[in-house]
Amino acid sequence: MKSFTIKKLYTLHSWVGIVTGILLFVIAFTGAVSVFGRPEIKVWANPEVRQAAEIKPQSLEQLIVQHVSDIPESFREEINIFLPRARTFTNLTVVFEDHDNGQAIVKTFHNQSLQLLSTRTGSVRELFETRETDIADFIVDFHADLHLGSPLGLLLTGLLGLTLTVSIITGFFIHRKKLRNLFTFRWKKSFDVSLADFHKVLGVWGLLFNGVIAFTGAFLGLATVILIPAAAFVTFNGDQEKLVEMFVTTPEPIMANEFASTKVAKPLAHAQSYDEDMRLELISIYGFEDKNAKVYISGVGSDKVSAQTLSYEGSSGNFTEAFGRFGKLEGVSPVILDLMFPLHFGNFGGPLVKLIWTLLGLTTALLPISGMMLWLHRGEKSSTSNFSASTYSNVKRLVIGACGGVVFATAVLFPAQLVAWSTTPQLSSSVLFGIIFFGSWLLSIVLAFCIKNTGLSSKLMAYSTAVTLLCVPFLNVLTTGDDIFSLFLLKQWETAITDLTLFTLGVLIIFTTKRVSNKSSLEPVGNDNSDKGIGNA
Amino acid sequence: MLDNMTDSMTIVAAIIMQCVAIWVLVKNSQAQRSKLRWVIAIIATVLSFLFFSLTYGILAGAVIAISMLSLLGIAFSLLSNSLSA
Repeated sequence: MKSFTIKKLYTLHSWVGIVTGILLFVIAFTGAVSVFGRPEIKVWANPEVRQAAEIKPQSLEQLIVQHVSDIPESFREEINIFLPRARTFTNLTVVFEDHDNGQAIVKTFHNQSLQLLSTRTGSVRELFETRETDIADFIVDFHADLHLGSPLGLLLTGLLGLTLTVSIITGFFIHRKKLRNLFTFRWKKSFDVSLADFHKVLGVWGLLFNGVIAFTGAFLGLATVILIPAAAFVTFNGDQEKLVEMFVTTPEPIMANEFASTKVAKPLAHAQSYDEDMRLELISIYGFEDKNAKVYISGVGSDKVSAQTLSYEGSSGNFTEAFGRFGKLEGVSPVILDLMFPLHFGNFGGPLVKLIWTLLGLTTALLPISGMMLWLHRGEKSSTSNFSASTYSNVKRLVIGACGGVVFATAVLFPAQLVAWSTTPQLSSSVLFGIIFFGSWLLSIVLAFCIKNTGLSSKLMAYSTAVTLLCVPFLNVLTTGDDIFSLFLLKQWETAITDLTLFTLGVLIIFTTKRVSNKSSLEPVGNDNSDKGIGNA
Repeated sequence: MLDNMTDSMTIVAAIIMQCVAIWVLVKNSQAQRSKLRWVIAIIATVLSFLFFSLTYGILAGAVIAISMLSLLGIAFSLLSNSLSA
């Protein structure tokens, strides 16, 4: 490739990184945490459901039959049973929907005793939006749309996926010696050489992963905002419902208006033994107690990678077929569409895949930040830079405050969750977490601008994050009485491992901060600038 | 699908194979390049893919093998300081 073209690509790579770097870090970091959001952090955040609960199929069927008799017939059109500790709800939750009036009744049950805990009535959207939330929901929703909602938030995250794709493609062409970059990390050289090597090692090794995350992220962000409306405009004269119907693989049956009891226990027992690795999340029943009733059971984590739905005849409980979310469409597109979700969320192969996705997600977050630091470092030292020293200094403070701040704010959510659970259960959690998260983040940015020494502000932020994380297991003992050792003995793995991980991360942050500050203080005066990266673009 | 114990052992074997592959490549980048090292790296990578596929199925196994290789690659590169040695 001509050097002129490469220079242009350098410029594009630099500017895309500088403009979107902070937001990319925020999205990638919260994404890495979100991988363990549901159900692991969700279970940790709700001490009343930390003990695993096994719901017997027969008991569930009895429960549904008993409660169906208490509700108007119109609410039997669609019944969704959200299995506990699986995804959105911590307790067993049953949603009875009346499609004609757009209303729903939500009943929540105790996971062990199956006693009714609460009943709520309203529109489906309203009930979903006013459900109880915790830090897992807060972090996952923040990653999805930055709490800006649809369309603005989704559009923004979708566009960030596209800009990450641009950075990956331009980075691929400008770093020509890829094989050499795979293993080059000159830790003992100057700060900018180490940083350049670090940036390239993350970029080259993580090329495929970052590409997949960027593409799937752009798709998931833009699908409902741009892609579906555009596709509906082309194919169905703008009727989005018709387009969505075409994709739906769990169609409602045509009612026979003839009574027949609907089996729930038999399909659930079959689904539990269908694939041991599949984590069941949702049971949907259409036309309860109608001869033509259908039962669909969905779950994730099977060998097929994509989420699977098992279909059953409601009246007999017989298994009919298994398919992916888009599996009923023809061609290659359903295979690709089915893979989009698990490849982005890393929810297809158990804890090992989640761990890989989290660690690689953190490297994705470190890519824009290392690139920006490199640009800043070289810009500050260069005598021919395009901007004034104060501009570089202010951008550096913003990077430290915004990026370090989002890490600190996320860490603060963990103790906040424990305190909120034990003291203010009546306060709306989403508002409380919003105040704590955005307050801590804003405070970090203000501090980064107030403290003159950027090294000191970085260290302060790192140590604050570390101390916050180190406190979590102790606070857990104080508020819930659960200590790490008893959690392991009681086989409450999600909670035990979350506590242990947060504590270990706290120790690691202290160790790394000390190591990096020692290296910075030993930085030689004459730096080796033999390896020019994006900084001078 | 294998039982839990065999699953765990197969995963460990797959990760060891990937470590071998990356370690051999690190050596290749430090010392004089040799074709034998390339062959060992390729065989180890293929074996790791097979081991992952035994546990997770072909598609999931392939995705996990590639992502695990990326992760171990980053870890080895950052730890080995290869070219500065």
